[in-house]
Amino acid sequence: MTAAQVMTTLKPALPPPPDVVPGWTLARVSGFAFLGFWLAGGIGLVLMLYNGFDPEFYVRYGPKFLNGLIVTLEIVFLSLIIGSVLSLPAAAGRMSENPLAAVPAFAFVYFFRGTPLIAQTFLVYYGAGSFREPLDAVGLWWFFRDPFYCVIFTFSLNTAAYQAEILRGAIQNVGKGQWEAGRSMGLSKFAIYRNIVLPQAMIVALRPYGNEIV
Amino acid sequence: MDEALTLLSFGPEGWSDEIASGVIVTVSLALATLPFGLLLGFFIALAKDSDEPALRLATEIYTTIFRGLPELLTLFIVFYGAQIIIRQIAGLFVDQPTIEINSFVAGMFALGLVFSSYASEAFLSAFKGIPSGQYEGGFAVGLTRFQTMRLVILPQLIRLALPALSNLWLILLKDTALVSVIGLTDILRQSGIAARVTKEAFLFFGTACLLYLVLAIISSVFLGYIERWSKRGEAMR
Repeated sequence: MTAAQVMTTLKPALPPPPDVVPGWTLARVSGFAFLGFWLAGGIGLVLMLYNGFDPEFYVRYGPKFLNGLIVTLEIVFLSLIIGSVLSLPAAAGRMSENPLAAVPAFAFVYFFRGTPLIAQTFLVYYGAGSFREPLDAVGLWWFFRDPFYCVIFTFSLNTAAYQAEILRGAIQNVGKGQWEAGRSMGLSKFAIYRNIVLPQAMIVALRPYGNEIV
Repeated sequence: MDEALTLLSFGPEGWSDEIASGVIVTVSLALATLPFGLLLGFFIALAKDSDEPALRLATEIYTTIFRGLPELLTLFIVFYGAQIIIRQIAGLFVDQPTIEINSFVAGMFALGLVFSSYASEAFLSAFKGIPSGQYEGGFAVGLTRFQTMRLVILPQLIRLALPALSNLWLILLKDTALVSVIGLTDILRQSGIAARVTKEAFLFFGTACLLYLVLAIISSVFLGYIERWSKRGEAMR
């Protein structure tokens, strides 16, 4: 068989395959239906706000909303700052081998992570009333009488417990070799902590910290 | 001390029977929310994992909304907002409809929405942790898509998603405390009533906190069992 004969027996080239037209699959239909639902909801919300637009309403309630926003932000920032300070000894206690430090820290963290925040707030705010006389005697009653201070108090302790766990997890994930390297260079325990362990722990801890704030 | 024990006893003078009924409400609400939230979260994760951009976008919006809103606000929206909407729809058919949403159902629905949006993230990252060869292997031995999902993917998915899901369960248990604000008589509401009547707020709210702790400890024990069960294949290796 010669080369020319082979050429004649070859089939002609096929046309390119047709473009795949994405059909209306179940996923597609439900996706668009779901999107339409959100769109309708969004338009409905805008329409409702537009129809119900009433300048008097804003004059009367606008400042209150603004006030509420400021109070929310104040609570978040104050309790975060206080909580992060409190979380340091709590985390240190959790990692300590001395039961005198480890047991109270464990109880603290377990209590605040295991019970609802709203129950803790009620416990502090309403519960403080049961100890009015001793609190009066120490001169702390004014603190527990004000709902704002009570909320700051509870939220700080709560976030301290969560932050302590984040911090502990991050610190314990820093490799043991880092400690040994620090010691072999003659650094003190505190210096190793501050200069070697904490910076690495912060990298790991920053992400969950972001979650905690939200 | 005796006084406190009397207040905490069962019977007409004590409040334990009321609080015990609150515990039942809390536990049943959490248990009722769990399958609803898990199933919804699983399908949301499937949708997020799909090739269809419209579906992905829609479910992204879903999780952004319900993770961004505070649980309390979701609860209010479902309880009051849904009531208005249902009443308006019913108003098209009958005059003066008198429909009220059960606060248990509203609480279950709202908590389920929040739970499912967090659970979908857990499922999604578990889906990403299963190599595509597992699907291909399933198809190659002649399993249908549904069978592959049920027999090959799901057992691995449970093992991968379990740690995140057990965290979510503990969070759910604590979030049920929020339903007391829409009038469901759970642990917190019952102890609140008891505290107001007896003026022993610290005693009763302290009891409520301890009860939540006990529930958390019991569930940790159970979750430990489930985790060991889900890893039974690994132990033999």
